[in-house]
Amino acid sequence: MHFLIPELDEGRESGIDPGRFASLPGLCCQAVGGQLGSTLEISAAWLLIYTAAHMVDTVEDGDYDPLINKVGGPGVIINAANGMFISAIQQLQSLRNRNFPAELAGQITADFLDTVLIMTGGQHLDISLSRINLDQWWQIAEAKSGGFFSLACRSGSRLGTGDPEKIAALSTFGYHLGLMLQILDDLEDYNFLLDSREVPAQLSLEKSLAAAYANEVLPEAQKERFDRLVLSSPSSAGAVDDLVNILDECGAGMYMVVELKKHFDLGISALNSAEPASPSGEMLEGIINNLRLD
Amino acid sequence: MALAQVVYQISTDKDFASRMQTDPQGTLDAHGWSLSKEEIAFLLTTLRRGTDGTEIRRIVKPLLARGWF
Repeated sequence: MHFLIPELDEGRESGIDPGRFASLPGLCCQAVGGQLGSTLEISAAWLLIYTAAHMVDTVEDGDYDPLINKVGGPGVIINAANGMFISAIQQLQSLRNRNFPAELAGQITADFLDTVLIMTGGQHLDISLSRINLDQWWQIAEAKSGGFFSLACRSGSRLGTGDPEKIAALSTFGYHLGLMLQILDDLEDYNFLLDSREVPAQLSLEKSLAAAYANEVLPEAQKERFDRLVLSSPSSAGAVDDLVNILDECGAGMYMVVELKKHFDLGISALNSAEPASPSGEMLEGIINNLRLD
Repeated sequence: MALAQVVYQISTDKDFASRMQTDPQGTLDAHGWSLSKEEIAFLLTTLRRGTDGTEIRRIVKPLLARGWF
């Protein structure tokens, strides 16, 4: 399971700017009546952590670009990420130079640090287990993407209103947005299916949501067959077909679609309860709407 | 993880899927499963549209088309 940062793949067009989600604090602040400019430090801190977490994740998962070895290896990635984490803290400290109440700046900084600690716990669970069950998949997704996107929306809205109900609603919106993104990110593990000519030499599907679901629901005999296919990293088209057939027969795709729909509706409901109609609210709705599969 | 169990049952048992469309609450009660009203509504919407559209190959494709990278 990866931290979420859309990447440009060679030869493919990108429809999402990696920095796009850094607009979440500003949009949430505006949606509850605040000023976009007041969230600059928060957006910067959030994007720095977002990028640093992704970089560390690529090293921990061993899926960084091999070209990095020509410029010093994975240590370079870790070092750069450390710099970004510290820079994020500097950004949060600079909130003191604003006209916000000192207590509010302190609360937002503490919220960032608490959330990143929880994310780290989720990442620990993710990389320390060789397989994850369905409960663990959700636990990790909630700790990482759910929590981090919730933070973006919660911290931005805090600078726009003191109304705890609105802050909680936008926090909930961000949480469901993050979970939708995590489901879609997991689905990317199956992108090789789009190119029937070539199956990657190494597939890491065993921690995907589809695999966790299949392991949860399949009868023992089928589970053993599924496990053999997943763990052997299917290299032939026939083996891939077998794997996909098992997933389709047990409803793995349907489960993901239903979960996506559920989190979309819960996210929209939370957004509407925070601020039913505003240009910023419409932009937030557009962001989550773009993630629908139904 | 009742939702996962219900989705599996829908995918592998046509009678169950059919009963879910006519009497979802009664069908779930008979199995001792509990879902929220929202979850039931999402499942029924998916069932009405047909589950073919949720096959892995079909749901992977739209991600690239929308440039999710």
